[in-house]
Amino acid sequence: MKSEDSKILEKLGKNPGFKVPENYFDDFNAKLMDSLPEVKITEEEKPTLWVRVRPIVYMAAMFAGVWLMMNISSIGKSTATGDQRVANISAGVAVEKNADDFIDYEGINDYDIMTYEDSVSMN
Amino acid sequence: MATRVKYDEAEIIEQLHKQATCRTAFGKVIEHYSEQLYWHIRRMVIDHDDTNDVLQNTFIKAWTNIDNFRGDAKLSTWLYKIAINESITFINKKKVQNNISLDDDDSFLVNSLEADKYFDGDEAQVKLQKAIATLPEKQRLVFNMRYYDEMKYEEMSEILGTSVGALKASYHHALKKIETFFENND
Repeated sequence: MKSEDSKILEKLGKNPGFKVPENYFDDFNAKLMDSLPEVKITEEEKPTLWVRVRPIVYMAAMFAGVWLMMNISSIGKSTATGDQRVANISAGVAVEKNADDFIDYEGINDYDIMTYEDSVSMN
Repeated sequence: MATRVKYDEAEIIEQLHKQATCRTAFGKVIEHYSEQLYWHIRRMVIDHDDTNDVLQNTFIKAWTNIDNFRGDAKLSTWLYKIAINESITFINKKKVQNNISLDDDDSFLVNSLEADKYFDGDEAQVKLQKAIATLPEKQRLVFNMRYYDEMKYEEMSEILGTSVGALKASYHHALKKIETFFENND
């Protein structure tokens, strides 16, 4: 600091010669405190429990959403299997209907059927 | 003399933000900063009574705006900024009252220095104050903060919003002008 000051300033020193009345600062502080107006302070509110747990709840909801989406797609897959079953049942019903039609058309009676079943069981 | 209480800035800032404790905390702020701000203002406005008014305005302005102070900057930086603004506003008002152009230097402030009962400096001190008063406002501020307050350039930079390099240049120019003033007024 000294090196950057001029020789003139070094001779003068750092006391500018200003004075204050006796007990000035103590009196000033007391008078000022008495004259301060009322002020309204906006206090920062403590975060509620909901505000604190909200991020955790949002994360949980997000993971739950992802899990649900994955499971809905697998439910879709099982529905497709169900449809296939329905299709197979329908196909079976159609085969039975065709057999009935064949029996009616060819005039096959109960005796012919029993003879056919016996021959199948014999083999 | 009143007993000085322990000053913990972080604790005081916390208390300033609570309705129940803010007034007491501000009392501690006044007690801690009034003297250093007084000398800073005094070197700008020179007269004791004027300094008293500006210092009072500084603290009242700080108090009425205390809700806006969030503690991002140091309390001292914030108070110095207010004190500087209040000092410049006061000097400009006084210039207008005395029909002095706002572009003129602040030499008029030192005219009655020798008659001031709160000044006991010698002839050389009066001359130095006259030399300082011829400096542009920013150079005056930089010179006072560096020479008398021995403030670090980094802290001055935060208060004045000027780069450290520019402040060093400003101080150097101020010294040269003061030397020239002394050479011309021997």
